Amino acid sequence: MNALSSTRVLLVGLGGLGSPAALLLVRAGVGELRILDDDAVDASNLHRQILFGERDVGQSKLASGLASLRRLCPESPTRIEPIETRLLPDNARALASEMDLVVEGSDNFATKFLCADTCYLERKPCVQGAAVRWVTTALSSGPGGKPCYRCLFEELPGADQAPNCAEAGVLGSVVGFGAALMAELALRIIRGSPDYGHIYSYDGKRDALRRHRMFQRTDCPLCGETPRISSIEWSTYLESSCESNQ
Amino acid sequence: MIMSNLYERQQRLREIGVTGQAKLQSASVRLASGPGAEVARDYLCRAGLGSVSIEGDAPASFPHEAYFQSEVCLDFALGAWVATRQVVEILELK
Repeated sequence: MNALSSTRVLLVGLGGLGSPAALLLVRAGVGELRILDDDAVDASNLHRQILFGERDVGQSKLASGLASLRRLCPESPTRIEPIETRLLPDNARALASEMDLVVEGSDNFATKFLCADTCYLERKPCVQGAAVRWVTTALSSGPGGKPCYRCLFEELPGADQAPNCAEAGVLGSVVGFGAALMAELALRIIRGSPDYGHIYSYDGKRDALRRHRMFQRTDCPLCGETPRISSIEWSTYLESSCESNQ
Repeated sequence: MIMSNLYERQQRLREIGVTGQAKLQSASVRLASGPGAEVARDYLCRAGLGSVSIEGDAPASFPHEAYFQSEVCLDFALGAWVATRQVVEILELK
């Protein structure tokens, strides 16, 4: 991995996790941060999406976020490149292939699995985070998996099995804690001391932070002995319901 | 400008709801100055607290410090932790 100032990071989603993760990566001075999002700021985002204020409601997250990052980190050497799109099966491999590291803070399982599969196929390290109610999680996978995101989560859950933060609610500062864990994992990768193969979980109500080992599965559909996923196909990432607010 | 759904996503938490949100909005919090204080203030203001001030007390000791090697991340995590602890305390969830 390159030194901090020459590392190119792809950030997927500029929401509750992505906003503070972007701030921390820019503040730390990564070489380049490409940010993917195609959403507009909604008032219900503001309790957790710290790059935005009330005057940004209705505006593009990328434009508002870029202005905030420049205002908050005027001295940062980071080149910030906003790309107004979601991570999609059509663009994922091309977007990831140009980068050294992918950081994913999206709000839906389809994007999380797409990101994990893309990073494995492109042999890129990947940091992934999530937050719902009082709990946030973060993990990083190495370019060769073993273990990878699918060793743990296997397949997309049905829409009725996995509440997102729009349905279940979430505390803003818990999301912020998760973003700090994500940025920490990303910086460890960049600095050459990654913490692959562990998942961190923080329960804000009980104030419990845990680091669990993830186990490689020999029957993992992505990095196992007889992988089923060797290309990115739209049909793999169909999810019956997916909230648009990141 | 007051926007009705500013707190909607946290009010969906059963521990918060309308009653908890009212508690948060009538609470006044004083934070110790130092690393993380601005981050904590930002999250608490966004959670709708009545008032949040930063004063020159001793900074909070952070039990999760060992998990963070990056100072940038450590300071932010500390702030998010302080804000979360304040919310838990105001709502008497402990």
